[in-house]
Amino acid sequence: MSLAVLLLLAVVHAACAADLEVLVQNDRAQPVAEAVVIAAPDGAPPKPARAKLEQVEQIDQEFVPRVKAVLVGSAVSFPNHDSVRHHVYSFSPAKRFDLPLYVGTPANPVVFDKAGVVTIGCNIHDWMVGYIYVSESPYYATTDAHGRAKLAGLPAGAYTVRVWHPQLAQPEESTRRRAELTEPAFMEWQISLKPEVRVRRAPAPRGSGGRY
Amino acid sequence: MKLRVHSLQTRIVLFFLVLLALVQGVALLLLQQANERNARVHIRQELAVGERIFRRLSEQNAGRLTQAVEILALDFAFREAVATRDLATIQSVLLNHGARIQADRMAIISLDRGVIADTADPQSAGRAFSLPKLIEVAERDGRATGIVMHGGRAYQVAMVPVLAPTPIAWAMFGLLVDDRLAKDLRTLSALDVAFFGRSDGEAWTALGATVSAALQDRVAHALEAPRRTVLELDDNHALVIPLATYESEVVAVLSSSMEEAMAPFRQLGTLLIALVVGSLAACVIGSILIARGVTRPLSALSEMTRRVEQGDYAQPVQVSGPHEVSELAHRFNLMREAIAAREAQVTRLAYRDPLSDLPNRALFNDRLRVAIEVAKRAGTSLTVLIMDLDRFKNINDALGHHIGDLVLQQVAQRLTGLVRKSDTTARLGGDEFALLLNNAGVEEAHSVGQKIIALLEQPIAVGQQVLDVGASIGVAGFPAHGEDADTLLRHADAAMYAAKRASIGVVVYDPHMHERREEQLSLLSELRQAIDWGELRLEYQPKVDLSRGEVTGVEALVRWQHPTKGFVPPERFIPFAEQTGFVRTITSWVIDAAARQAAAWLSAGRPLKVSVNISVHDLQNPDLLEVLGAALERHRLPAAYLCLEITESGVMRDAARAIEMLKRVDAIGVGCSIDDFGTGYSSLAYIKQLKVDELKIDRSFIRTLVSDPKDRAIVLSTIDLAHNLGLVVVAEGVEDGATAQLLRELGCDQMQGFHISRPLDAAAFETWRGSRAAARRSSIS
Repeated sequence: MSLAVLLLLAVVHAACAADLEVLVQNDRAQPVAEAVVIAAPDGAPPKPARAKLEQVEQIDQEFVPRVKAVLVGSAVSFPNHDSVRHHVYSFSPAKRFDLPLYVGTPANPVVFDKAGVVTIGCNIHDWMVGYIYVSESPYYATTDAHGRAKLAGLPAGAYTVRVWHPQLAQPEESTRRRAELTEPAFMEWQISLKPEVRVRRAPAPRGSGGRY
Repeated sequence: MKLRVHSLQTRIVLFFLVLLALVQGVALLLLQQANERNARVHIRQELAVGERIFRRLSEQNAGRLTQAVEILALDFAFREAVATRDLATIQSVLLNHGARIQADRMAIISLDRGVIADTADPQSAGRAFSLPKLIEVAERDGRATGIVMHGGRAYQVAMVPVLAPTPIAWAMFGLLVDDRLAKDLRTLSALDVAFFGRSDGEAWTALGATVSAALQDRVAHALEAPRRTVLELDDNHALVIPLATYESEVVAVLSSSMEEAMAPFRQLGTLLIALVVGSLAACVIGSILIARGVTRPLSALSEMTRRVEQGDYAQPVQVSGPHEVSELAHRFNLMREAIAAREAQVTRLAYRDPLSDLPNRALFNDRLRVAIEVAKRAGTSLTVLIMDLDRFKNINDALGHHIGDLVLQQVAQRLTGLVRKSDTTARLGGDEFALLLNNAGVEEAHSVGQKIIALLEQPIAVGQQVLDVGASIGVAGFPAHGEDADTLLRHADAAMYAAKRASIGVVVYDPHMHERREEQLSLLSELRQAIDWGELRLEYQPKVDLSRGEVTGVEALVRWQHPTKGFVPPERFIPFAEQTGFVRTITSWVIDAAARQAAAWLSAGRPLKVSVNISVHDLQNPDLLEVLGAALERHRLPAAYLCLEITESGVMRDAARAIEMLKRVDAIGVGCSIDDFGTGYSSLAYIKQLKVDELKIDRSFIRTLVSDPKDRAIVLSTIDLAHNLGLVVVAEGVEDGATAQLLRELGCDQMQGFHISRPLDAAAFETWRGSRAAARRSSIS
């Protein structure tokens, strides 16, 4: 519902705004999913957008979605849909927190008030990795399985557009590009990724995965 | 017992000893080689097993380390400490976890490869991590294990990322590669273990080992590039195992010593050597015992032969031993007895006269020498008697050797009965005896000689016959007649010959005899010259027919006119000529001279038969016929004018030969006559066989013919016998007319003697013959 309101606002604003479509590929021209594309407008940011309540769920002992971009100041709740407890934590400088063992949704959502990447994990299930990209700009999107993303309703103007990915092998700064957006535009990145270092997932206890 | 290399015993012992030692030595050597091969194979296998154990242990250690560091890296508090760079907490957690697994090194490295904490080197915090490659592998594989060097020490390390949940740092745990690890490995693999490391191609250094520093050094020197290889260092076999390392080179060296691999054998070897020594000792003892069983009896036999060699036959050898040896000993004993018996026999033969059983010449000489030595020392005297039987040759010839031997035995018996036991009676040979009288002077010896003569005058009865045997004895005394055995014997011999010549029984040696003997010798040499120089001549004594009174022949008689000594009578030189054999030369000369004279008379128209005396030596001369033939031919004389006269005793000395020779003389036509008939013991059986024409009755019968009727009877029967055999009878030594008349009455054919004429030389004979012919003619007319 609230998403619909937002979209409506964007459409209203569209008279003087443009959409930016993006394709992110890796070195071998394969689509890269879960890449966050951020467009930061020159000059003062527009009126601060109202932070929303975001969610990163735990389903089948994985964070869903794995990569989540949120606007700075957003609160994110971590509902647990599994039958086992989780202990979500982050040691990232952008946001340090931990939610001791819980079932269901913890009482208070975590507010991300500092831009940056927050890597979240579960102290019980080492293989669980999730990323919350805290963006200072309200214009961001995450690529789908085809490596595509669409930043809609960008007000015309000059932007610095950059790409981030958990396995990005190059500095985030090297992905920055300048863009003068007056009408719908299309941008394409080829980024190099490093292999994901991840703890091997433990075998599921008997009966625990029966729900799915 | 002395050890002699060539003794049988030593050889036997040595042979078995060397054989056994060789066999066992070779066996030991083969065993040693086989064992060394086995040990080598065993070591290789051991090393291979050790390598597997080592690798497995390395993997286990790596796994343990990895597990431990992974656990650490997932510790929430630790992760938080790392994330917040809470160094104090980081270090305490590291130490805590490190202690759990007894890790020796714990380090946390930042993602940008800077050292956050390192227990091995606390000062390095903030500096770049020295093992970037390890991180690269960990980034690629999510973990990294391997061996690293740091500060001269080596660690087996495991590195994992600290995930929160993405990597926020690297955590590394390390175990020291040191003596302790080496010991653990040795406990598991039973091999010696050493670790060596080097950085930047420097020299290898030992990091930890269970072997001696010396061996470590040797291995360190032998090591080259880190690759799997086996080093053979004297006694040790070392397997070099390169380890997975970073920024340096580290190898593990597993080694096993041949010494250890051979240890089981060494025990066996010691046992075997003990066995070898034992069996060698048993061999020596056994060989000695067996050899002694042979050599002891041999030594005993050898000892016995030594005794036999020295002339001791008394002791039999006593040998107990193997059958072969005792059999040999028995044979030795039989041989010893046989030798003893034979030696006794030989000695007896050597020193005893088998016929008389008296000492022989050799023993007599020995005793004489010994006696002389004793007499010299004691200053006493001794005498030697040499006795020769008279007429023994006649007995032997007439009655045979058997009778002669019996006579000799009886003489020997009589002699031994006569002398003292301390004296020696010996038979020197033939009919010659000798006596050695100790402590006896010449006078005593002379009287002993007289006793012997007296004793032998008693007739000797042999079978049916009674024989008279005389003897001549010569005496020589020590020291008067000689100071040594040879001289004494020679002088006694000379005395004996003197006695024989003189027929006076006993003669004591006199130095003059010697001179006479030498005179005879010079006479003999002069006799040789006499023929060459024409000193010999012939005289002729006529034979006259008794009934008609005419001269029928002559007997040629040899005469020697010595240039200085004058006339030498025949009895002075003929016997010596006969003894020396020179008589043959004389006979040849006489035959030739007689033939020449007979031929002269024949050619002068007054033929006469010439008779020549020949001796028994001439009968033995096979050349006699040639001499005769040559003389007849040289002087063209018919054989009928030559006649040989031989004495009856001469014929009887060797009747068979005489019969044969006379037969051959008769065959060439030369006549033969028996001289001195009646003195020679001749047998009528022989007379019958003799090819003779004439018989000359000995003068001893003729001389007493007129006075002695017995002689008359003998002469008469002899004449009858001769006539019956168809022989002409000649009487010798007719010295008067009465005898001649009586002979004529008795029917004797011819006569010879001083009554007719003494022997005359040729010229005188011619004169005598001429006057006699004239006288006869006048008496007839």
